[in-house]
Amino acid sequence: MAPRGDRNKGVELEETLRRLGNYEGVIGSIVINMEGIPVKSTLDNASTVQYTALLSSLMIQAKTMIKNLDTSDNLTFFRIRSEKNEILVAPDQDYILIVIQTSKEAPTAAET
Amino acid sequence: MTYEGVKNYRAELEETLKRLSEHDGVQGLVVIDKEGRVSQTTFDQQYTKKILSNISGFTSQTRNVVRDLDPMNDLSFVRVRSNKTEILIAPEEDYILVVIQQPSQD
Repeated sequence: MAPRGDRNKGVELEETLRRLGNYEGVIGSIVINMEGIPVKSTLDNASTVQYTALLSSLMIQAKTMIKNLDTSDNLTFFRIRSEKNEILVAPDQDYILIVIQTSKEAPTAAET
Repeated sequence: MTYEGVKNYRAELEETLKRLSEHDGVQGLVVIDKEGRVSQTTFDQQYTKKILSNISGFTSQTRNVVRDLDPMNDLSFVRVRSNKTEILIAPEEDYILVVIQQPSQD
């Protein structure tokens, strides 16, 4: 595969976030880069910073947990469901995607 | 609860856990009690220890994150997926149920 330029990645990111935002029930989405800095967010600044801080460190714990159980394994995704909403964290090679959506019975962005 | 009641309860619990652990794709399960000790497990001792030491802490941390974001909110379920497994964590009032299964197909 030919290496994608940074600009293409940026465009792809915008496109993905836009698609995600269109799903019913999505409250917000945040993209964090490898340095732990939120590069894109549909939430206000304060919420973005809070979610980024809390979930980045939780993600590291999840990664460690998986490695401790099996050193050859790797975290691919995690989903936190609470009474009021659901937080999805998807780590990737270059980014971490966080999506916050309402918990409901109907199929949501994550399931479709 | 009467003595009979307790026996029935335990039997029903074991039956449910057994059914769960025999479900397609399920590698095993662990029940962690309120004190953080293992009350039921279908894994060997070594793996169970690993699960206890890793998952209890992670579950508490996750719960803290939920409460930090909204003190009126509470954790109801966690699903952690990796290349090889999927860990389902159901934190209840008196115990934490952990089920480890094959990653579900998308």
